[in-house]
Amino acid sequence: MFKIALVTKDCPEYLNDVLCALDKYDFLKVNGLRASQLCKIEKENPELFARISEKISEGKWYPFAGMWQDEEDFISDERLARQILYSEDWLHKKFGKIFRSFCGKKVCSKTFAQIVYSGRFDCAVLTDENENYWLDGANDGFRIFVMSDADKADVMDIDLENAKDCCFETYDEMLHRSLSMPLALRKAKVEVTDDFITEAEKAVLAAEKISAQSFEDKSEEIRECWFDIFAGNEDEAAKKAAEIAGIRECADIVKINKSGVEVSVFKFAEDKNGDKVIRLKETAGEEKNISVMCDEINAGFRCEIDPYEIATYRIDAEGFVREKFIFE
Amino acid sequence: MPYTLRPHLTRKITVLSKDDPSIPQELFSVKSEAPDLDGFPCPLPSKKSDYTCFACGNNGVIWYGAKTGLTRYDPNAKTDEDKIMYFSAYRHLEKDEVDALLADGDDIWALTGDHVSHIEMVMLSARQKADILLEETNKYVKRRGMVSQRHMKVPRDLSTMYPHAESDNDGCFTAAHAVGEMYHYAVLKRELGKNDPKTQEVFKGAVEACEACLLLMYIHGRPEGFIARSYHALGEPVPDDGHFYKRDGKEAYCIETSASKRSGRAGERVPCDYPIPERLRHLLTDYGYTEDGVTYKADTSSDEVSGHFLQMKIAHDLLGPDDPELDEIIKDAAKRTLTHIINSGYEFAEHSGKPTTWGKWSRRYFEGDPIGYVDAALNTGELLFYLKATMHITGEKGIWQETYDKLVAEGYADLTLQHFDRIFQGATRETCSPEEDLMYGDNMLATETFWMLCTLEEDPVLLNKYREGFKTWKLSLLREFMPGYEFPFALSVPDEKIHLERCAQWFYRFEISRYAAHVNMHRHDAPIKEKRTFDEHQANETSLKLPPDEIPITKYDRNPYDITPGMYSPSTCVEGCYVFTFAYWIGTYYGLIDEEDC
Repeated sequence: MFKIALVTKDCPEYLNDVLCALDKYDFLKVNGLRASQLCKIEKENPELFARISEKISEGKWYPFAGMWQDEEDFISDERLARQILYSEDWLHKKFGKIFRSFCGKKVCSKTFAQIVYSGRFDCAVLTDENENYWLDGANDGFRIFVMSDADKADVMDIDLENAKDCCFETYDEMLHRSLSMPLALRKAKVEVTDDFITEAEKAVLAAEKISAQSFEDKSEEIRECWFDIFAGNEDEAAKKAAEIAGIRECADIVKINKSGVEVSVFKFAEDKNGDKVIRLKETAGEEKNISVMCDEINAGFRCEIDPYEIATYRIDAEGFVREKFIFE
Repeated sequence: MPYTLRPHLTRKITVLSKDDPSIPQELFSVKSEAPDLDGFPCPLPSKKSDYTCFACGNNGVIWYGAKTGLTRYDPNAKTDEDKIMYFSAYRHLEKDEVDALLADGDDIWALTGDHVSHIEMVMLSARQKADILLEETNKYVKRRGMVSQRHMKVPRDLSTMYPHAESDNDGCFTAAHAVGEMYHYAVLKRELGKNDPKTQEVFKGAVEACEACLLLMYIHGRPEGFIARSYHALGEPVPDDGHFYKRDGKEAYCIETSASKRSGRAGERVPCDYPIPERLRHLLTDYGYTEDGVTYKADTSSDEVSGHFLQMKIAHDLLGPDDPELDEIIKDAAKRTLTHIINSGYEFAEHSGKPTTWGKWSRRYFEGDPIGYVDAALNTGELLFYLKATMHITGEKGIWQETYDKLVAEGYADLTLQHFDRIFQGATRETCSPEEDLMYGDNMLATETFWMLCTLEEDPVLLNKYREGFKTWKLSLLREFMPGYEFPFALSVPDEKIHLERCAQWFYRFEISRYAAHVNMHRHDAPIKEKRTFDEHQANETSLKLPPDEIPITKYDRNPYDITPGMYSPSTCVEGCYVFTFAYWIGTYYGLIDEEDC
């Protein structure tokens, strides 16, 4: 019998009990804690963090990858992308691993499957979903394998003394097992709502664009703004964004030769080598061949963009371009 | 309504040594000056700072020479794709660094070190291209009726072609070539009449390609309906690539190769006393050979079998009425092959009874092998297609219909709907995207299979399943923008629209030689796409489909976005023309395209 043991709280006493259980029961594996929670534990309780890290590295603890922290199910596409970007970036830096299972709520966006897939997740474990199925994007050609963790329980609620016959799994192990079996799954489409973006998010994206156009890398400050937004501190984020932008205007230096495609992001690459990142978004539901011109960074390239596709391009100092997943 | 193709400028490339007397001497004295490209309106294939010279041609066209190739800018071109054209080593230039340019009307002379490229921009119709390409194939690629590819000793010098060649898939490539030529014949027969000399010439070529395919179904001499992948006549070199059997009297023996030593089959003897139909033997005797000493290639895959069945079905329809003798051989070959598949438990068996590596249509394969699980969606369709084609060709039902009904009852028709789901699952398992996991050769096999199933099936429920099954291939087929896939798709799935303008652009930008030299795809205007696999260094595709005259020349079996390392060489290979002619003649025959006169 396969079973999912969850870590549901982040208080030290509880986590200490979980770690003791992991030490005592060799067969036990657990899933839990988001990047934001682990980050907080690292700062506040390094010793506890070190013990959790060891279990993650051993493959006995699978963090809730995907979102930096829990969110509502109505958020903007870019906010979802940043949640994934910052979470995966942090987890990768700390543990040197790619975590393939997205854990979180199903966001009501037509590009939800696309963004999760572009975050290089191979499946999504969605809150309150108790069935395996294919989740297709709304006419954008993207798909994600939704994996049910129906047989789950808080690890501390499980009678571990009598659980030796259970096969405890991490989400990655469950994914591997599921994909190795013949699958005949129903297909579902994401529920569609219009993409909306808050004023604070707009201000942060504008500040980021201005800093990139001014060749001043403010990635760290921008990241802090997004963390404020994830935490619900929109006013604080907007204030910080205004400080980053200063009095500068947000000019459009990236030009596209066709309508229906917008430059949703123009920024520095996260690894701070000076490369620039352009994220384009097709908004008219049409496949297009477009030209993107940006003389200021020696760039001019052509690309194909599918209906509702969000495409990310990284441009080096010579103006050569690579199409990337959203990890930039 | 057909889409009307217009004549279009086509590149004609001649690379000359610098001392060739035909080169205008002004080229060597022209002063090279870097162009001012500030505010240039389109993406350029080379970095702006790499451009070192330019020349103005007719009608506002400007040629720009760079350290990394040659760019032609036509501000008046009708499409964005035609505004900027790119020329690079080794297909268009001997090297990428352009030293000087001299415009000559529509054409250009480009000095690159010790060589000069004369690039003529010739106005040609698609039909003229088809004729030119066929002529090149007949002259330099075809060997005893087979058409795949051939090599020359000296790059660019077609007079140094080797008489022999090797191919892993002579059967399926020649079959597709034959299909193109059969439709060519059918179009000319309709337009000019059966007895017109041009029609008759094309008829002969189509029949010869067909015979070459059929010969592969008998050349092995095995009593069962086996098919050889290819064969080499006595004295021709045999490559160390796979399992080869050399005919020796009434038996053939497996010669020593790395593969046969590994598999333990070296030295294995198999019968070869089944006669080759006299009608087909001329493909050997015309060239001074007999079947004695022939070495044929075994371990035949489903690629070959599908190609042969498509070829036989079309030949029966288009050549059969004019060549009853050939039609009788086709009927025999189809029945023998299908009997062998059925008797071997829906697998393509070697004489030992063991299946070949990639010739499996059995539940055992689909259920016992992770690759078979993914292949099931195509391979179930293939077997159903072979059965329908055999019934069509022979006019018989019997065992074929019984088997067809049995397989449909076992769920074979339903499995044809599973392609996308299974390839997505398989790719996800391997942490890559479906596009990265594609076998590009499968796109042709799927096209052949579903086109024929949708053509031959009359039961509305099954027909609908096959149409839906064909649609599950859209991601992989339409990603290539190949009219050779899009036309059969449109004919099979009438409720789906194809992009005829994009198909037209493909015909316009197809070159008139299949000299398969490398082109530079590390371009400033074409992003490279990162792979989804979690290896940051893997990125071997362009993220947009470049026109056919700016990508490597291949068959219908390679990723057109691929940037293959190691291909940067002058190349000695000339490919056959069927990639163009298969698409062009099918499109013309079925009225999807027609042409303005040139």
